[in-house]
Amino acid sequence: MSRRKSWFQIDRRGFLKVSGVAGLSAVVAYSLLSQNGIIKSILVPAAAQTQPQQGATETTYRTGHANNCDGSCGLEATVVNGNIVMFSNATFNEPDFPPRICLRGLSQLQYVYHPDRLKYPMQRVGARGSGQWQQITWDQATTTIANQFTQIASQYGAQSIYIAPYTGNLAAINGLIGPGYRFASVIGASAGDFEGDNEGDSASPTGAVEELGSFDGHELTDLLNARMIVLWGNNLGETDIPDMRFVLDARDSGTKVVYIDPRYTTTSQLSDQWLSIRPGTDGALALGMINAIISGSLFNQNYVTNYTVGPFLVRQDTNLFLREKDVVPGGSSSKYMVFDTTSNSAVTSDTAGITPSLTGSYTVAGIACKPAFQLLSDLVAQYTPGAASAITGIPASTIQTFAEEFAAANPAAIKAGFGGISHWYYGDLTYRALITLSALCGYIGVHGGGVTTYNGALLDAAIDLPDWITPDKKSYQYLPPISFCDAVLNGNPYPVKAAWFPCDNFVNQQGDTNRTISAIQALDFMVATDVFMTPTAQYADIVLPVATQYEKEDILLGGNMYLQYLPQIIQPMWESKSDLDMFGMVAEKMGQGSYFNQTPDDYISLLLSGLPSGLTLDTLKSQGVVRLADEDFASSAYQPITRPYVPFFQQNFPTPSGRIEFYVESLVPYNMPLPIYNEPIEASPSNPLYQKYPLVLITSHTKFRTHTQWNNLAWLRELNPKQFIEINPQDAAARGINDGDTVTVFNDRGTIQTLARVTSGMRPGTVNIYQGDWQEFPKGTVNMLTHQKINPAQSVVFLFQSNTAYFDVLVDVKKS
Amino acid sequence: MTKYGMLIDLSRCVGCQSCAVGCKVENNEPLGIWWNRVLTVGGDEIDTPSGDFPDVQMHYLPLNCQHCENAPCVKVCPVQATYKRESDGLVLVDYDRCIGCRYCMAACPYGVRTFNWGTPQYSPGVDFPVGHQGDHFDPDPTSGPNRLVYTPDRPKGVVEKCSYCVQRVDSGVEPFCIQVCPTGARIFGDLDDPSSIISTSVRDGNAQQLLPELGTNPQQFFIPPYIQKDVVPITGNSSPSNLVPSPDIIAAAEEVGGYIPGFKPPAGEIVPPPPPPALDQSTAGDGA
Ligand code: SF4
Ligand code: SF4
Repeated sequence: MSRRKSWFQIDRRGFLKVSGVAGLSAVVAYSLLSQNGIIKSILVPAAAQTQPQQGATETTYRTGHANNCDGSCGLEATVVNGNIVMFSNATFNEPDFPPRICLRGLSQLQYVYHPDRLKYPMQRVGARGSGQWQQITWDQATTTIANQFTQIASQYGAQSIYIAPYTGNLAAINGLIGPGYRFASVIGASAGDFEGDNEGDSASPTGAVEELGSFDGHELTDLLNARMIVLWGNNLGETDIPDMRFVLDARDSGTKVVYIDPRYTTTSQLSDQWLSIRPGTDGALALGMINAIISGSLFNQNYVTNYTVGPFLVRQDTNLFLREKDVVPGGSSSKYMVFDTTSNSAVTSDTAGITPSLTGSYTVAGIACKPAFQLLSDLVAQYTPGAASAITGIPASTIQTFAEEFAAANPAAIKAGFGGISHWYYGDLTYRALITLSALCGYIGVHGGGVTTYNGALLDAAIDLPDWITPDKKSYQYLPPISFCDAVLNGNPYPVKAAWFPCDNFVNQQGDTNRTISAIQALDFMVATDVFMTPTAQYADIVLPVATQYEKEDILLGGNMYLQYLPQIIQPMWESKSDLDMFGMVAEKMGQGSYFNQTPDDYISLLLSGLPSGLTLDTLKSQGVVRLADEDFASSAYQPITRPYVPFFQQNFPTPSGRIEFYVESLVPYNMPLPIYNEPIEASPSNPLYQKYPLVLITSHTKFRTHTQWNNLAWLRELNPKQFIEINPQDAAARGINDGDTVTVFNDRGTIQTLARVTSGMRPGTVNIYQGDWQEFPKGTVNMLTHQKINPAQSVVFLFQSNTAYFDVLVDVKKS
Repeated sequence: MTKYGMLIDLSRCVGCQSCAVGCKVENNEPLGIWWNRVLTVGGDEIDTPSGDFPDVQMHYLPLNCQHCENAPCVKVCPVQATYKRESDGLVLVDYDRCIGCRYCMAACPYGVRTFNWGTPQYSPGVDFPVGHQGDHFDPDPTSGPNRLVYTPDRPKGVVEKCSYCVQRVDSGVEPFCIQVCPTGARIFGDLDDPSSIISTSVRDGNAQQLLPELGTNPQQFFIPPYIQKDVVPITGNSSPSNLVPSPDIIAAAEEVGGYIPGFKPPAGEIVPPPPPPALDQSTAGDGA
């Protein structure tokens, strides 16, 4: 029976409504996969040009969208009379990667020509945050910054100057891996991580690096090789919208698509199965599946034995792996012991002809040990599908079947969202549970498998990053964004007195806005570079107008396998400047001008010089976009590069043991060597606070903006006029709330006002506010309600510190 | 003959509004005017489902002009400003002739026509037309001369609506919504050609028209929303070696006729109509 109502019988008066006419049965789900190419070929414009094309009146440029949705779409900009009149989707010149764009990319010209753009440098004249400004010259602005920084550096040390990461621009020399780091390095200041963890994303990379040694993901086109796709906390149809095309193509060729999300979304309607899960319990679901897979012997024994630490013996006294040196005097400390059932003895794992045991308990040289796989089995014994059901709210039979199908799929691909998985206090553990689940079935490093969040080249391209961001081996002091407030307010780990936020709307996006504002207010000096007067820029002492990505030259290595050239298409608007230029002006006044006196082309060429293929900027410019050559992937040093790109293809893992480490020694001090399940730190019924604040607040990503960007574009605002909180009818009725009411959302940290959207797509007990809106700062700023609870266990991986657990939050709602 | 039609595969539509925003850009639509809207069929508001949690459902319905064969709007227009073009079946509005009576808006059963009540307002800060530049006159001689079917400089008091991007189609380029739909849910082509993709897709995909009982016979078709595979499809044992890579994606894609984004249109698929005839006052309509 169809689960759908008839969709084509429409009441004339209420066109928006479907009628209640009985179901349309036997509707054939129709696959367009085989037609896609031909469809596109019916009528399409000539190939996008990589060089500006001079027409009678029009010039077109190929660029890319350096946007933090990670989509990295190729854009074609049409320029008429010096104005960009249109953005459309540009080719990638490859048959398997179609042109892509979304509503945000299409709206870009409202961003470039927005009347609210910052037009010239400004200096604060009233109290900080009062909104009183005076126009100054670039020379005055950069002189003030240089003087302030010099003075603060001499008083407190240069590390007390913090240069925040760029998340508003994913490009190279003017963005995410941009001049902020270079500037911080040459003056010895602090800087954040590349993740720019204002979005809380670092838990997933942390979990991946711990277990696999790398956060690399599969290329999108590899989804077509999967027999099952699990969109785990990944509302792909709303976030990385063009990526959804690959899921749909796979689905329409027979791949089963399972979507795990507390909320019903557009991705639910397009998936074969939607599992509404209690927020934050994804790890328990994975452990329940592992339980079913182990108890049903559905795991891939050969794979677990040879490519994971499964057979490695773990000492019961120290909880560390048993090494050769522990049992043989003079033995190696890098050889791991396993129990060989052929010789009935403990031997090193590299011994030939052995049959290592995955189970049992052994005493070796007087030391009690168990194989890591046995410890995993012991852990999951308590997470039967029934027990996992009690935690997750998903029926036990569904978990059992899901596990069986996942194991039988061979392969199944897990695509995990940054938001859904990573924005939890224990997000790293969850990510590790997903990897462990995949590894047990032998799906890591194979086509159509893997656990992927970031399917891009940025992570693995062998560009010469060190010489660009840490020139002459001068290096910045690493300070993760989540530690910023502690540093300013408590001098921990050291005092921070000044900050520069380049394209980083930190005040709006960091957890616990009140705390963030008090830290900002406590700074001696603050600079913001932005396109708009954001909530962050509002608190600055000096505000600098930055040119948009279309007004400066750059390259983009983003969320796909392509390197895109971003030409300067128009002159910087008003008095705006490129990031490189403004950092250069300040650096020069601080005596470091020599690090910024080359051209953008020189710096791009410096980055490209790391690529073994010898790709030059000229080639890139003439082609506009190139697929990274095999040898240009850093991982090509230890594995052949496949197409579609699959990390760990040779089953080599850059972990201490070279295997998949579902048992992580460095986490023994935190009692987390295995991917255990912990209840959410705050958003759990087991938390006494739950009595007071019984609703879990998640803050999802909306299609109508990317974090805080594109929030003020008129077209997108016509579609999405006001911020709202999604609440289930049951929860709304219990509070006397009707659809459209103004409501107050509150907890002990803050209170905000927004509109109620009462929707049955919302899971009872859970509410959602799309994050990133700053239209009504601070009245509607959702991070007033979130926190900055630091998870120290996430700090064992260098360069990834604790995330901000944005979703791990309790609130209540009342009618205003 | 050629009869252009559009097919939207609702089983692939994510409701992202890219087609709607793309339409606004290409056609320089004034603020508040949307020729192409993406409706939610489900709850009371955009992006919300109907039903009770968790037994809920929703899908999207992108809605632009249906380019009916039997178009009620054409019949009621007192000045023949709205007309159906003979060469390809597009329903077009002549901006110069429309007198703003809005009979067509009342007659259209799909609610896709919009009206500029006041002086059109465009994007703040954007003081030039976006999208397609310049006026476009219907080149089909049977339409009559001087039919202004696209102008970025939008007159006040005139009805406007989706034209299947006539200014693009007349130069052999697909409508912009087709080009930008990120999921490939939209198809455009010749319904009169039984072997065209749109024709075969309409047949094989059980495509439907909206409000068929009205007899308008739209040239716009829809493949129904996605029906979940409810049979457990996955069985079988894990193969012993997971290290054997699957076939290269390109080979796989070729096998199923996958992405061949086809930047070069096949020759002869679209023959642009001849250039517009010179202005001849004697045959000009009397309604302008
Ligand atoms: S916002 Fe993301 S998906 Fe949309 S066009 Fe830009 S890069 Fe592509
Ligand atoms: S662009 Fe495509 S997927 Fe998005 S709403 Fe329009 S038809 Fe649907």
